Amino acid sequence: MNWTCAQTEERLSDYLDNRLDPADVTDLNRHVDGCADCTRLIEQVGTAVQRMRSLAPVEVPPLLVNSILDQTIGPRPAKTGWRGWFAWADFIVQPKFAMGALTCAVTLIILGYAAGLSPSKIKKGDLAPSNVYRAANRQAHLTYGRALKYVNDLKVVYEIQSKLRPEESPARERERQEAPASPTPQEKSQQDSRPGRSSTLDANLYAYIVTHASVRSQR
Amino acid sequence: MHRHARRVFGLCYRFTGNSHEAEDLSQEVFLKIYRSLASYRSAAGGFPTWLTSVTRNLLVDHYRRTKRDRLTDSIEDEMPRLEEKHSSTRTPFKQVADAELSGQIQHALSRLSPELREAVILRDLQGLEYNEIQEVLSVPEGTVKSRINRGRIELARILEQLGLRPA
Repeated sequence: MNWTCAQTEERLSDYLDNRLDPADVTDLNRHVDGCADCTRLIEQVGTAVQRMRSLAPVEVPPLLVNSILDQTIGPRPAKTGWRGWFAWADFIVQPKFAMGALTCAVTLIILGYAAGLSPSKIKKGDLAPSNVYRAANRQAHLTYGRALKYVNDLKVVYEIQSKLRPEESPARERERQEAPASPTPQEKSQQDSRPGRSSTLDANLYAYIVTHASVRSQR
Repeated sequence: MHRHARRVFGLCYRFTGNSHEAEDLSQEVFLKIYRSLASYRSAAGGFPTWLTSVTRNLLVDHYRRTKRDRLTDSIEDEMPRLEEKHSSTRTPFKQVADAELSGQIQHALSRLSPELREAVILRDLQGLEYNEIQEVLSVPEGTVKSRINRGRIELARILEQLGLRPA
């Protein structure tokens, strides 16, 4: 049988929905192989159908079901007691919200652990607002104190370094830079004498720190 | 209840292209069903088909009722609607692409005649079989087939006019 373009258009949905007889499918395929218009039509409509089927179902507005139930079986009995107090929070019992809340809780717990909090160490008394405030205040002061001490110590170290640097003569510095990888016997003897030099340096450093510390303590 | 609400709301939304209208119509459908539960015969095609049939009849009524209003403000029909939300398991990129496609399909559907539109929605968006559609629309099988076919061809042409070409 000779298949025509009009037949392709007429039976297109049967073809796309697999409702066409095998004999007709053969005829159609034979015609379509040599017909650009029919190939294009099948491609066009097939893609449109595929796109429609790929769409996610439309989401129902959250309050629609409630209002339908209210209108049909009538308003449900109002919640009493403590449930009534939390009736406004019904939206919380939704997968999306619960997931968000869980993520927040896990993040807080991880941060808590990182900050040194552990549920096993917390006593009942620690949860009293005044104790929480006191602990937070103490922690803040301690952190401030530690930071201040660190900065001051760093200052001392830099001061010491700047005092010691002038002792390094430029000639010796140059000598050290120019020295080859394998030390000559002369240099070896110099190296041997270094412990003596470093011990004088240590002594100088020690003396400086002691005087500096005593000056600081007098202040 | 959620499953049925989804089916009814989806059908109303795709037919009217308006979320608020679809919400009002869905409520109307369930009210009507609640009142006429006694007339439901379990043998006649199953509850979902009956539900779809009631929804469809109401949509046709609504369409006739609002025909005059629509003729006066047809500008609104020209706007693609992108307001539906999708399941959260999809990636944001997919969600945006889906929303765009959904808007274009919605726009194309709104340009079909109501007979072709309902046939295409029932077949390709609601996934009903030919015999179920025949029952919902109360028309012979040949008519169902020809409406689905013409609806799909017309919709594909509109989509192409909107710039959606076969991949």
